Amino acid sequence: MTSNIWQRVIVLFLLNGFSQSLSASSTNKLIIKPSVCMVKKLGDICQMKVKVMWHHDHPINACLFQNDARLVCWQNEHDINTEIDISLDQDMKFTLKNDQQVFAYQQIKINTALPKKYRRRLRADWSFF
Amino acid sequence: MSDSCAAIGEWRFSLSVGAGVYTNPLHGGDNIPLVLIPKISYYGEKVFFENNTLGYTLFENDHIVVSAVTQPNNEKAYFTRWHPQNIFIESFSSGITTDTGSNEETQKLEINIKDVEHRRWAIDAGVQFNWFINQATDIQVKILHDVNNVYNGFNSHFQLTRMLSFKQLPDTTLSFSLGANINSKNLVDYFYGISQESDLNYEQVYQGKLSINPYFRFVLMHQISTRWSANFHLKRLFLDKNTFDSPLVKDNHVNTIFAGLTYDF
Repeated sequence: MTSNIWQRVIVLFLLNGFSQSLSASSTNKLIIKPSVCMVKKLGDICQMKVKVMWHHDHPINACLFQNDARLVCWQNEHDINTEIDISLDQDMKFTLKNDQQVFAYQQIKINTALPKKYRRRLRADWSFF
Repeated sequence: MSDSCAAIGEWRFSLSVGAGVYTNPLHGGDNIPLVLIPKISYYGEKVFFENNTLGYTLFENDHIVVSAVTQPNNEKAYFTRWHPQNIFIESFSSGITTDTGSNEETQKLEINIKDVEHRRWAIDAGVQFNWFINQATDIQVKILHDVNNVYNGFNSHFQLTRMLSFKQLPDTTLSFSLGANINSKNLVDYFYGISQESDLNYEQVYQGKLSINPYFRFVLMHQISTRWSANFHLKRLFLDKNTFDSPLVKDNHVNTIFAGLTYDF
């Protein structure tokens, strides 16, 4: 009898854990990897292949946008794991959305390998000024 | 980016469009209209190029920068025919440069620049000191000598600049400068002297002497957006008696006035 109770507790515990992990994965989620692109200096264009993963509770029609530009669309999908080529020259927001709603978004950042250095201007205006 | 700093290794180009004039103090000299003013600059780790100045920084710390510089000498600009047909600018500016000479006790001999020997462009080279006293105040001193054997003399510049910004007027800065251009005897003599040898038609000889020409300058700048700004420049340079006494010189001052819009590329 005692062992029966323990078995039920264990089963309940496992079920609970399973349902929790299931609920975490069922939230609207967009993962783009890598999320940082390195360029030599600020202003350079970064081109890279990124992994795009998203999941939704039920099948949806949605498109991935880079700021306001549409990159790729999916019909009646709820689980995507694919690769796409992107290019950007500044930090940009990638959004999964359709006409009705925004499902998720992620920022891709640009980092420079060489930080920009500055020096003082030496006031060499035209002589007449 | 702050206008007092430059990104190393990047060219910067801007163009101002507006209206203004750079007056010419010489008899027969054209006022120079200011309509389009390009500005270009490049700062490397040591080398810098800004408008007409090329420099190499020899020493730099938080407050002091010492550089070797070269630039064309500005004096020749008054002897150059810029816009012979620009009637508007000539009539406009003649109205603001008439207050000298008439009250002189002795009538000054007038010699038109067209009647004297051609003056050459001089290229100067020398040392520039910048002393950044604090965020708002700095002093610049230049000591230059011509390097292409034109006037064989020195000129130096001193300028104190103070920048002011206002809480009530964000994105607006006013800079006020006091300065002086000091021209050696040889320089003044080459450009403003009249010699019997070179200008044979004239009996009266005028020999230039060391001249200290002080000036003040206002620059008002309002940043409209990241790339557009509105600017107003006013500068008045007072010619030393040792330059003004030359028969070539009509006015004892030189004005620069300009108002316009600047686009930063």
